[in-house]
Amino acid sequence: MLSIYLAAIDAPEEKSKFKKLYQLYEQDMFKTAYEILKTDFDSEDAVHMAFTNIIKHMEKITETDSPRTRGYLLITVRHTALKVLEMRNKIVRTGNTPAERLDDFDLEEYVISGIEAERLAAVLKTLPLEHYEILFLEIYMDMSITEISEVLGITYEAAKKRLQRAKKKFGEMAKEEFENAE
Amino acid sequence: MRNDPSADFNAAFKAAFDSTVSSRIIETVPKVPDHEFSRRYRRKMRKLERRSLYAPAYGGGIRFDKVPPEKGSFKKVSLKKLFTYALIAAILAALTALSVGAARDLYKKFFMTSFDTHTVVKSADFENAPETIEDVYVITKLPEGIKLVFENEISETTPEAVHFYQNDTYQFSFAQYVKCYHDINVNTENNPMSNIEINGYDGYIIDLGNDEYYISWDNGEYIFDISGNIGKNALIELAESVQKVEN
Repeated sequence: MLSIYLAAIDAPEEKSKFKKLYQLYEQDMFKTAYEILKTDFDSEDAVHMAFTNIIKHMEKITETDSPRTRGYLLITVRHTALKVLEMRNKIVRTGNTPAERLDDFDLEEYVISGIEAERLAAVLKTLPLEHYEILFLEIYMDMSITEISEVLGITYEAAKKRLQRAKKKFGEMAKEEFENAE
Repeated sequence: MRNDPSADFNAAFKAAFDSTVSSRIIETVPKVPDHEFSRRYRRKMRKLERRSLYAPAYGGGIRFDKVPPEKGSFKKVSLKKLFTYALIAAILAALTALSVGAARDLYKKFFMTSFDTHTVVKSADFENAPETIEDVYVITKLPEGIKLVFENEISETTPEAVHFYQNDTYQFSFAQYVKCYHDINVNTENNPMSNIEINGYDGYIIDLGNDEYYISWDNGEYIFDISGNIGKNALIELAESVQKVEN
């Protein structure tokens, strides 16, 4: 079965990459989806849909067996599962409170330049998961807002606002963290 | 030499993600036994595999490992070879026309193109059919204990209405398609296809093995399909119970 799945990708390098992704992450992706959806049927659908999405952004995966890739695939399937759940419950995801407006926010300017990775990590450890995930996609996966919106299953505008909100929150937490440390 | 502050910032951030991705994401995966994926899932993944060739990441349908020939690098083809190629092409075209013609006689409502692993099915008769889901059809005789676990939302542009049902033992899907957009791949690799009538309408049935079947039919307005592991007769009964929801 797997050989059929892989036969479509002709270049040996890409075939190997896809094969590894499939073998390495399918189970964890299913378990993540199952935790949200509670049925085998929907969870398998979520994994399939997540792979559909991942294929669009294969160039972002530079290393198949890495925590970065595993994190990316798990974030993708988690949001796919949430989308399936919303569809199942007929919930329409709006993404934002309409009254909220955030101007462009430059995280780099807000946070002190020349920051050490350990200090950033300390903030990332306590950052709300929703903010962590979107920063992960933008900074760690080098994704554009359009690409992020595809992974999260939300509109471009919603992704942009969510990203601004995440950066603002990170900036506030970082400032507090650094002031306390000094 | 002065470092680029922006690059430093990004590098620091990436290192910070390196050290937090395990605790924030990876370790949150529940520690439960591995799952045995269903045949339905494997089939869908095969479809995805075929589609993956045409994904933008793979060069938008062009093989990324093939480089266009440089200008002036085309090989010259002799007249004799050209004639041979033309003859082969004509024979292949005639054979294709015969096979498609045969398939169309059997499945008048469907246009089918067969490949080694699958068959592409489109509507062969959609001119007077609705271009949106105007009327909704549902299964009216659900077996006891089977529950609807998923249905997609229908809008003015939705080309299909999909429903998934299941209980602890059985699962099946039912879908209603707008005919002009109907373009699906069905798994005919080692799976026999034959014609069937559902309430007098043209259709086809595929035996997927393990008491799992796929049935599709065209009622003139829409194309429907139903697929599941509840056995052939039960699936036909479900298909025959499909009726329009009266407003």
